[in-house]
Amino acid sequence: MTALLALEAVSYQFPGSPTPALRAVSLQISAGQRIVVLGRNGAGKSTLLLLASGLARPQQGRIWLNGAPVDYSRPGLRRLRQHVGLVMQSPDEQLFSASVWQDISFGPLNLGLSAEAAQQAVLEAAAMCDVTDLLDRPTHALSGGQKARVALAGVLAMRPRCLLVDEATSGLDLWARQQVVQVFDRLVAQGGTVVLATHDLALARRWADLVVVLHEGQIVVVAPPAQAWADPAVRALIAPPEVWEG
Amino acid sequence: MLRVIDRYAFANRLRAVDPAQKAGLAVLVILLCLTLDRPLVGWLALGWMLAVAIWYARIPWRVVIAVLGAESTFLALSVIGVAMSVSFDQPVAARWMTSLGPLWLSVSNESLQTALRLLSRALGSAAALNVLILTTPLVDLIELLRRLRAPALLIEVMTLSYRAIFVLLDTLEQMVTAQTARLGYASWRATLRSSALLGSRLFVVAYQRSQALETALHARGFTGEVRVLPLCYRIDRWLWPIGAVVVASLVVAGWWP
Repeated sequence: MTALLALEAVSYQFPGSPTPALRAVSLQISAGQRIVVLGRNGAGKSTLLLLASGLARPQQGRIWLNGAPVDYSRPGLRRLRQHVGLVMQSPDEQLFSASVWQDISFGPLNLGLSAEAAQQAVLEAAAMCDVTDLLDRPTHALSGGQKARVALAGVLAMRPRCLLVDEATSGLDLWARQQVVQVFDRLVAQGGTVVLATHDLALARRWADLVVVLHEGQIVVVAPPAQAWADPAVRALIAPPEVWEG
Repeated sequence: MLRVIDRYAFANRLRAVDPAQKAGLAVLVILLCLTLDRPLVGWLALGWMLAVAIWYARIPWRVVIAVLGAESTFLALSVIGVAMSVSFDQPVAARWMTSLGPLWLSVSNESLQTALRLLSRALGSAAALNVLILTTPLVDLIELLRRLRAPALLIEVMTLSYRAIFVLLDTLEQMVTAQTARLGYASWRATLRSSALLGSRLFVVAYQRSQALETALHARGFTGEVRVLPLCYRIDRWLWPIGAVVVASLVVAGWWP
């Protein structure tokens, strides 16, 4: 079966950085998967998501979308963004419009949808993220949890098949976090894929089908949580011993 | 004050009313205040606009008065300058005068009338503008500009600036709290130092945020133009007759012999 998204020996080094952020990383992402990316700060999690969403271009290696190499021309990137959506770490960095309604409508209109189709996409995404009652609210008057769900709705309104989430659940209380995870579950139930970069081990253990552990820009393991947890070397890369003892 | 105005702009009885209707009334009142050269027009406009804001839009009177009060302070300072004359010679026909060393400060009947006329015009216009800003969020005004075919670049800059103001205000408050917790404002010297650091750091944060925002816009297919769906409004059928009464009364006050 062709992977929805595939990274093949991808490397990336930020300008001015002495070391590469990612080194020869290969990963296959299929439809309907719940993937959690773990690793220490600076391990390359955010860079992996930037590359997978086409926001950065690999200096080596290739990225494949539905079996075809990603085309970095404007139409090619539009096609990629129809399939792959990225939710940023901080909602304040994503929400740009003064009203929730207008912010969520931004993505669908950029995809070339008509006003009616975009309106329908906004309403569907708002319902999916439980923010319908916030549509006429200003974005700056939302709570942290509400902002996270609105930011999620802004990406889901583009109806991506693969959702990349960069630590968007960090800083949320347990209730808000659960609401966001429920949105992920709804997307997966509809055949979508969620790739979540996080430090939340409990969430990774409970929710993921697959964990990807990154260390110094390289993938150390791709395995179901129980299998990854069983390896002491992998455990040592994910968290300090005290965490595992707890 | 900015947050207060913004909060009530989103939570008043006229919030969902078409901004064109509200802006139309405000612009008409301002034009009448500026063109009809009688103090009564300004005072009448002030009264009407306070009534619209407090009784019709249901904005708390304390908020309306606080906003008008802030503006009045600036207006009063300007009006004092217009009313008062300063000279080395003793004024001949002054309503009030006093000497300050070699200088004479005086107020004449003409200058007082000019000042009062200016004050009434300015207060009437300011009150009309207050009705607009206290009942209409900036997002609606931007939408109105879009409908009036204002340049897309202006609309985008206004949209992004409005959002950035609140993000930076939050950041500023967090930084000030963090500095205060470390005695950043405990003395005059510390205040100066902390303020300078705050300013420079805020600039860096603003730059970083703009970079992150650009990345986020590209992630949602941004191609150089910020396109969003228009907002939906209702027409307030009572605002028409209210507006007609206000305008008619101002015209009568301005032209009645």
